[in-house]
Amino acid sequence: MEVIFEESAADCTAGHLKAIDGTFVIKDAVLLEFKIKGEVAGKIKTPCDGVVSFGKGLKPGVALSKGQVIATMSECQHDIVIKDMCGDCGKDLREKGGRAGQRKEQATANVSMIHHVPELIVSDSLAKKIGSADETNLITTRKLVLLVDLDQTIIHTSDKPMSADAEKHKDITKYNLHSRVYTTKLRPHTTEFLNKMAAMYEMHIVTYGQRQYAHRIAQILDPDARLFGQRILSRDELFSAQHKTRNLKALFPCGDNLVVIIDDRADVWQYSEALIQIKPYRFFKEVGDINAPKDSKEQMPVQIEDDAHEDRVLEEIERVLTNIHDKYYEKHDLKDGDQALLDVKEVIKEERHKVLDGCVIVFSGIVPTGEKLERTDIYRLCVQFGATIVPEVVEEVTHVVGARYGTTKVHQAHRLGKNVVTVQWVYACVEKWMKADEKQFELTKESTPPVGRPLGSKYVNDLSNMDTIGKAALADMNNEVDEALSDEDEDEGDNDDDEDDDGPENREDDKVQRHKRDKIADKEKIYQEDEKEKKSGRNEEPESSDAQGKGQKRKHCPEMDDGEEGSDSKDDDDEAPMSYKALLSRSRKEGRIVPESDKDDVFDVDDEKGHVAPTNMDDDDDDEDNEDEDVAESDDDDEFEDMAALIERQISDAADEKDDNHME
Amino acid sequence: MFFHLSLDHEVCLHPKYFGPNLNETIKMKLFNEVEGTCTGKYGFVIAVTTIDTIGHGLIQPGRGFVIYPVRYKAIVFRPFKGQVVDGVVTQVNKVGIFCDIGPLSCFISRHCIPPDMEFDPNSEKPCYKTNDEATIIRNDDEIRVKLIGTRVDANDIFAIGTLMDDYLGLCPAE
Repeated sequence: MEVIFEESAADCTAGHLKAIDGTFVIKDAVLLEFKIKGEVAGKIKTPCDGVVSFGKGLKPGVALSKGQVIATMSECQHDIVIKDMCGDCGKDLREKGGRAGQRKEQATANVSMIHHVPELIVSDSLAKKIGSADETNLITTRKLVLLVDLDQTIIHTSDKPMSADAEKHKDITKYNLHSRVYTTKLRPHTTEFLNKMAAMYEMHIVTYGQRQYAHRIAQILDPDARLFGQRILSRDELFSAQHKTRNLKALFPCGDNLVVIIDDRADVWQYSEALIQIKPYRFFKEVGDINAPKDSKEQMPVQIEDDAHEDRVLEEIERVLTNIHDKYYEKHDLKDGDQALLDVKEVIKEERHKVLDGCVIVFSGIVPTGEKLERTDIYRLCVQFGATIVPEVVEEVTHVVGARYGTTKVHQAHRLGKNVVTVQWVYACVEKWMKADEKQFELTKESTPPVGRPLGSKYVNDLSNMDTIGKAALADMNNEVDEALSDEDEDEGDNDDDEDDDGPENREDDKVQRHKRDKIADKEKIYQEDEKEKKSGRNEEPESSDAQGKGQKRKHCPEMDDGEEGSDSKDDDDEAPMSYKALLSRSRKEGRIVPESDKDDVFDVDDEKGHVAPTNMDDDDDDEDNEDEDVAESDDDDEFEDMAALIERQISDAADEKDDNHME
Repeated sequence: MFFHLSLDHEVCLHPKYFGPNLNETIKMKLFNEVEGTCTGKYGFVIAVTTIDTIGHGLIQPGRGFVIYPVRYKAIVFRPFKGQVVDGVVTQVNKVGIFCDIGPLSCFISRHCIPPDMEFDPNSEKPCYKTNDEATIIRNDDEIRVKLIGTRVDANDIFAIGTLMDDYLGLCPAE
């Protein structure tokens, strides 16, 4: 909508502009004062709400003539939205009675730019504008961005009561959070590290800890909010439960060219080039990362590092980061002004490459046979840090990394006078970003095969943490199973085996498992199809043969007429609670269990009512929910029994097999 | 805006309080339960002024608890669109300013801050300031805001404000 100047007097000039170009104004707000012969003669008001854009060249003192377009009013673009309200015009964008996020009007805003206010979102274009302003600001202040992880990178937190004397160690803080006592230990050198880095980097916290936790830790690290300010991104704001990478785009809409990351794990950053992986810091015994991402593949260690006090990692990292910063701006100064922004990842890559540059490495006994060399962690690290890997000991080789003394390659290397080192040498180089002294890591006859992995994380044998089933419990289960299943044929029992494969019982001989699996694989297939067809509303219903049996039974109920049902119920009453066995045999007698092939015909039956088990029928006739629960419970038991049977069988099979082997 | 309203509340009391101080206990419990809460309809209950009636208690079958219907008068704060209020800045960032108007939080987007004020990320505390540094808005400053929108939920109210009108912005320090 256009605002047109309508004053017909001569000598009109524009006075003060009362609104600002490109901003939202409400109806009847003053846009402009105009003057006649230098005297303020009147005001021009907006005819409607909207965003003002003034006509070209309009400024105080410019002559105005009748019919001239002073400004155009346009709709608000809703560039900034918070809690479904436009931050510019205040309009409520939420549907009437709708929930959060249900907008009646599509706003352009979709980037959450402020770390700890995820509900505040801005449009792409505005985000880019703000992002580029940020970038320019960083470059002019000669800074880079540093994303800092908390747990195990610069602190270690325990939620268990601490036995050690807190007074003895420095940098330990105890505090209450969610009515639990937490103890946090800063990594040695953290305060100095952060203070030094603040001069070169704009620092952000990116952690999998909860918001309150992250802010509490930030308060400990940085009581005046000078280092991190409000740049704290916690679990509550992370988009993904597995990766931190996805938030980068929102935080840095103009790209992550200036971003350097320090973290103790590479997987959460999807092995980004910008990541400088740090050896995890562990201070408290038996505590891993209390905020590890869910379903993470990496195993977290629970052992304490004995050298927790002599941890010098941050000093090394400080040197590396300072170096990267200096190199980046050295390069930045050399390039032309209008060239695109340098990517700090390139600098990191280059610096990383320098560490083992010129090293030609041969592995001996490190990579298991049958595994592809290129896909191992150690290969990835060596290449990342600039080394060349060759398969055989030749003239150019500089280092032989061996697991054991006495392999052919090690002997060859000795003969040719090459450095023969243990894997720890590689890890030491990687941790410090410096070529370590080969003498310290020389492979000798006494060298033990390598334990652990790069950067100090260790595998934990996950079996050691699993629950086990005692012999007595097993026997009990066995008895129950015998009772319940004595009548049933084996095949039905087998069908649900695979469901439980991940349970503790699969500690059993793997061979037996595999054998069994093969046997039941085809049955399983059929079974799964059946399950799909059943489309039962009860998801948690265990997928056991019993459920199947019962399902069939239940399906028949609605087909019966009332009279039959009634008489049926009476029978049940006499012998209730009926054992499954009895039920099954009776059902067979009555012909109510149909052969598998006929099943399809019955599936259209209304599940809710159709699934009522006859046993419960007259007890709770009026209360369907209750019945459902009962059924589910009994099914659970059945599954449990089946599981026990499976375990039992496996054990006996395993024993048999052992015996067989013995005889051979 | 502030209102003096007559409101109702039900106080649920454990039988152990049945004694000479029953009325006092009911009052205390009422104060605890309503002051500082927010209802979408009436706004934030700031303070209970008088208790008009405490009705007959009703014993809850099977529990022994007693529910007293209480009628009381309270001062409530209900923000409206277009209202001009004073707030304290709680957070300044590149997208805008957050401020608290008593119990109400309010957001002012960067488009609603006069364009002669620029965001300065490099100062010790992030702030919006004019080029000549005559006006600086940073944390804990008092600002006068006009509300341009309110989000009223069942038990919370959130507001959007603007500084783009006459006499809005930084309040002169007393």
